[in-house]
Amino acid sequence: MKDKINPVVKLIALVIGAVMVFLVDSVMILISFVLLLILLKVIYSVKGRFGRGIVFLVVAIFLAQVIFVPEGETLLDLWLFNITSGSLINGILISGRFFSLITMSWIFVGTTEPRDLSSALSNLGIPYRYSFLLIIAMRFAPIFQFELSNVQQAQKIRGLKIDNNVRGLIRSVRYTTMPLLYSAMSKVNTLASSMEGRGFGMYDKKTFLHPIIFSKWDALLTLSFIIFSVEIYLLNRIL
Amino acid sequence: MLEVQGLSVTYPSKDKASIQNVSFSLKQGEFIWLAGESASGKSTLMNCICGFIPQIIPADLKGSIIFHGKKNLDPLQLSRHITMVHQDPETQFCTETVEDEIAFGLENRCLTRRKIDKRIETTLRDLNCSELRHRELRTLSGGEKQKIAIASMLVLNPKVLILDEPTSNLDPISMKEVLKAIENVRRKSHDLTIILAEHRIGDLVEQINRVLKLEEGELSRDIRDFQDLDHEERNSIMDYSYPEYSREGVKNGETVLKIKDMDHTLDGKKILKDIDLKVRKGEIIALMGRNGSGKTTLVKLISALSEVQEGKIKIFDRVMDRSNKVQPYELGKRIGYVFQNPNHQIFENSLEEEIKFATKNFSKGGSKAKKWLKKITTEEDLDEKTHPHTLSFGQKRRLNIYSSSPHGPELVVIDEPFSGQDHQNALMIAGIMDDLWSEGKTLMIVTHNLEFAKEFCTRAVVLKDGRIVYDGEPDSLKSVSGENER
Repeated sequence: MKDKINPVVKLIALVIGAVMVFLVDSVMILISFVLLLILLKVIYSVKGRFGRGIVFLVVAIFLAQVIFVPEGETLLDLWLFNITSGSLINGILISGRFFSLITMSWIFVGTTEPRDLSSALSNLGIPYRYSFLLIIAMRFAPIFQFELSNVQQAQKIRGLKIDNNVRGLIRSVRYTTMPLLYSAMSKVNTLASSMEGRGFGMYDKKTFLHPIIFSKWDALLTLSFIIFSVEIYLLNRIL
Repeated sequence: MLEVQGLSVTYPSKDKASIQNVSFSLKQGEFIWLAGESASGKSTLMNCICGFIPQIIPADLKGSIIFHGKKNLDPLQLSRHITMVHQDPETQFCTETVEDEIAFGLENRCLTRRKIDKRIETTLRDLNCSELRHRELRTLSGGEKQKIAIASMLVLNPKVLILDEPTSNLDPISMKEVLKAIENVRRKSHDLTIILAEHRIGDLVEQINRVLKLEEGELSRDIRDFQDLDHEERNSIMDYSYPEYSREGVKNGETVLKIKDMDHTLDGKKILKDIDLKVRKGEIIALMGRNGSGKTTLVKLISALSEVQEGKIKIFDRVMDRSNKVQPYELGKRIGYVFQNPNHQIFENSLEEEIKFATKNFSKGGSKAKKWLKKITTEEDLDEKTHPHTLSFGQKRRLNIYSSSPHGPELVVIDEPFSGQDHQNALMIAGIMDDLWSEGKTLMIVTHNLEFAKEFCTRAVVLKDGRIVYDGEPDSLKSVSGENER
């Protein structure tokens, strides 16, 4: 679901949030933050589930901390290693930070139209030539994903077996890069012609059919994010 | 208004000029059919007229293009007067919605939002597709996409509209839709000069008032009164026939493929429904139907490139269903597969290595690869070491078919062999497919080409919205959409 908040405000919130998760070292606050993010993801019904890859990484980061970086009192003495209070806290903090960063970015991308972000950035004075790159990237990402899968299928049906080792990786890169590159190159000229042929870059400014203007409400919202973050930081120091 | 004088263009990677000493002048309101085989220089010429060559696409350009007395303008200056619709709408779109795409050019020209809104409305109405305004581009059909591509150019009120093979990737019904849209544009604005490069223009031929034909980069014909040509002369330009292969349907023999009760869902949408199909050795099946009717999904399932969800496929002696999975490289020994996009399936740096790619992987078929390499290098006058990506589009397509099956697969699937190909190239491709069949292979050809299906194939299977709506002799097929069969 796309929301109505100015994408620039969300971008600022994302940056503040990213800084905050590194500043905060209270387990309580971080866990509350993680729960808040999960709630937001559900409320905005952001597409996609926490896949196996992410869960695996979060658990792996947690276990690595607990097993390899002992600190503080021993809570449980296992045969090969001890579980200590410090390592448990560090495990929760580090894996929680990682999880928060991913989820925040995910919510941002899932609730923001690239067009609106581009328009909002231009409104703040960023040249539209650069902000438009975002739209292009979003437009072509699924196309290249589709092409990648086609190229890999074409390799398999003609008998290419890619082993799960470094040699396999090199082979895979070798046989995948070239077809994708040629396919992309054939698209670049058409896209550039189609854009320039419609006057892209004719003037320094352009009209936006759906302008996103940074209003005083947006300023207020940004300010409240900052105040809230400072409060959290102070609370973190007390805890 | 537009004059081309002594135009020659040579690309950096080529020794030979792509167009040579081309001169002509256009009057306002002319409707020109730019004819010529693939690689005859049509796209090059059109890209020069728009100023894209040499500004965006580097090439050595000699001669001049004069628009209203001004010589060799740059693309931005020309964009005020001349616009071009490309072959593949997917590649020229730079936004995600219909409205944004049509607004794009007007936004760049800094028109007010009110004016933009009004112009979008009128343009969509002129093209009879107002209902598409609030749709996302990815949800449109091929024909609708191309109409929006035309709208996004037309909204700029150009003096010259150039159309580079706008229907070459479309099924016949979408193709008619787009040609009809062009006809509407023509009727509404007689001041607009239209240059249409297209292999097949159907009924639009009645509207054309001039034909420019390019042959090997040179302007070979400039017919000013096309309407006055007699029937035979018109036919000489518009011959799309195939040789008569006079094949019989295959009634008996070994079954190579059997599909039972197959359904397939993709992103929550049912792509295939209740598919039952039996294919015998030696059959040539034309798999037809509109874009998005499920043809590619079906052939990918047969080749183990997608996993079977519901139902069962028995291919040769292998069974694929929900619990039995087969890896594509296991099946690849017995199935050759040619994908739609030539670039996606060229992996090596020379013709020789490319044709031998599958034989190396399967350790089988070296002598056949050698034979075909010799054939392609002799017929096309190429060297074994030629880099495959320097070939023309038509040559790449032929290379794709050769390199799909030197290792002796019994079934060869070819997905849209003729897409973007002119008739001459299509005939050459048909020749190669005939060679494959003569070796005893079974062929499954995904195609929109009804004439080809009737002359070449032994059986036609038509899909509509994921269901088989026709399965029988190609001869009794009236259209490829499944609307009026049986």
